[in-house]
Amino acid sequence: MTFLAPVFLVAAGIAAAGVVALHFLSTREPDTELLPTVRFVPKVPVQATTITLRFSDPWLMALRVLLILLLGTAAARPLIHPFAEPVPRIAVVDVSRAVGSPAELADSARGYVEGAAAVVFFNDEAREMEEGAADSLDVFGGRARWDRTARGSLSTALITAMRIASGLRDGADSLQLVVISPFVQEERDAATAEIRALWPGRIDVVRVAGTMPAASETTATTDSDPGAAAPSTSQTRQGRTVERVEWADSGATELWAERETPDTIGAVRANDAVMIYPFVRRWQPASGVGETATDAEPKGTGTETRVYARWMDGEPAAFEQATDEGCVRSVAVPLPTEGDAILRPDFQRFLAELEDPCGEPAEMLPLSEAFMAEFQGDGPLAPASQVARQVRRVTPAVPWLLGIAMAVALAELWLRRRLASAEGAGQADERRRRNRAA
Amino acid sequence: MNAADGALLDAVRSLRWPARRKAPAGLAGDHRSWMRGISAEFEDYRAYRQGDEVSKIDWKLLARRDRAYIRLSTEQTVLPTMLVVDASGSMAYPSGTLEKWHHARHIAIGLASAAHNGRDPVGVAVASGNGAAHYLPARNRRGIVHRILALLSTVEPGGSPLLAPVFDTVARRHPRARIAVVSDFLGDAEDLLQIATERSAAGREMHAIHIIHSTEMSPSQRPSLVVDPEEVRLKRPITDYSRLRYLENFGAWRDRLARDWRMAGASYTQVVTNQRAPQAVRRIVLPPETGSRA
Repeated sequence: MTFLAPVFLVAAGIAAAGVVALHFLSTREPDTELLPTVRFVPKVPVQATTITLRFSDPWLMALRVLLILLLGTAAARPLIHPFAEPVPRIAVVDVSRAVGSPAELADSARGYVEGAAAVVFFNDEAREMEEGAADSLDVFGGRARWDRTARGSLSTALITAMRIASGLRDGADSLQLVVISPFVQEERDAATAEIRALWPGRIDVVRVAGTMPAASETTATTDSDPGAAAPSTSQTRQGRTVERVEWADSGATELWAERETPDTIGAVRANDAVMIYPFVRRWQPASGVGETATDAEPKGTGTETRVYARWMDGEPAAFEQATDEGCVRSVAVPLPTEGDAILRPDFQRFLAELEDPCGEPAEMLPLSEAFMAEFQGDGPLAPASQVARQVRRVTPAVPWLLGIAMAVALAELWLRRRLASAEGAGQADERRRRNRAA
Repeated sequence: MNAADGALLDAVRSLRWPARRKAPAGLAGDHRSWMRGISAEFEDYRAYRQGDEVSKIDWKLLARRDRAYIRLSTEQTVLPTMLVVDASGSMAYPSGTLEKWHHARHIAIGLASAAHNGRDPVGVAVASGNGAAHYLPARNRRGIVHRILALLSTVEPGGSPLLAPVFDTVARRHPRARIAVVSDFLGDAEDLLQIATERSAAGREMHAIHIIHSTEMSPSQRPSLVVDPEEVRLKRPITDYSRLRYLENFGAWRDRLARDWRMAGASYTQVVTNQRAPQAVRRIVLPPETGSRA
């Protein structure tokens, strides 16, 4: 058992000691004498405090001490781990649209799910399966068609796994985290690597077959070949390198026209990179360039051109033109000249994105081996001592402790009244005995 | 009977308890009756009326005056006396010596003896809280005083008995009797006074003998907590201030009690335990013209 707020336990101990001390200080009435005409004495308080050297009402004192200790223990929020495992396992199972074969996933995951301390199913959200995870896995595995609507998120899965791990750390030596997933590009986001770095050990990775993106998801059309079902140049050039990057401020104004009145805009976005800065916008797309609603190539250009970056109001900020060797990116974003904006990570990420391969992001492609190596890690399992402890306001023992404390409080009340009535009866008996003796 | 009882009986041996009102007609006794008869004690003449017995005509007066007169005389009768004694818990004070109860018992015995010396029937009824019946009807036989003494010796005062029902019962069973209540009047004094008022208005002779312990008259000046023997929860501290207030309250209550009983037509006598019982009995039985009243 561990306590989240042991200070209350100390306070309860001090209070209990105070109660014991107070039972030495008994409130005792002065010596009494009989007087039949007492009714003519005016009403005034009749108690005085004297110190005795013996416990008064030991049972009452015991109940009161027990009551205080129970309340203090409840306030200290104990955590009970009666069946703590030395190496609890957390199985994180991908059930997103990236999974190619649910049956294969179920087969691969079953061995890890059975006997796991916690099981997490994730797609765009992560759910901890309280019980029946293996049955759920069978249900998923038996489905003929997999639900492809939900996108997976490794970041969400890792955060949920770490939250669960914080509840399993007490009583454990190490924690094993197993992720069963196809690990495709769309499941990674900008925060994935940083969240992964928060896990203080290696992650056991079980990679299953993923699904390839459907042709309709990335198909683009041209004026010369409207409605063609054949793969577009956008799809065929995927993975090719950027031939060069042109800057409109440096004279690459083929796709840009100078604004009559430059304005200021607060941010620009390219793929996952967002740069926030008060940019002075001097350029706008040339006539006939970038007038389409989508990021596909604009009509009438004759060559494949797509919007690569946009200002925060939706206007194109950069175009990508396909070439035989790859692509050329034309950027109308001015370089920040004030402050440390150039040195900030978001601008560096923006620049790095300019070097990304041409074409639409290959979201269903497997994550790179380099990323997977970094994701998996090569160290030991996560030591329990390095996992953050979970802070819970109510622990399972608290309601029981409060219930017992309430019962003790009622017992204390009953005993106090009984003692008071017994004292009154005892005084009456004593008087009767004295009368008979006289 | 102990030595104190014997000394008391000796002290009141010559004492009688004359009636303060004319008594109802009854057996021949020492008390003046409402009825007029033919006893030896002459009171008046009345002109002969048709229907009077001829034997009651004063023949000598007829010879002198030549008119017939009837000789009238006062009827003497006995007056039954019932004593109602309070044996509640408040009378058992102090708890060690029961001095208050014993004083009340001596007063009752003294009154019974004084009544019996006048050849009056005398009885006793005790209101006690232990449930036992303590009742002796009014009798004129020899030894009735000793029986009353023996009965009172067996009583253990305690509890919170109601005195008014006992008083009422005695008054109904003995419609001609004089009734004397020996009590501290700390119980149902209001009900008792109401019944006494009704009986006194009907011509009955009533006596209220208020027994007070000397400590009640002047509590100890040592600070202490005093408890009512009949109500344990009633606790009050005695301090200099509260003692002063107590004396004021208690004195006002005694004055009010005496006034109420006297206005009801009864005799009220206050007896404090530091007064000797024979003297207290003498004060009670002597007529107001000759005795000093409290």
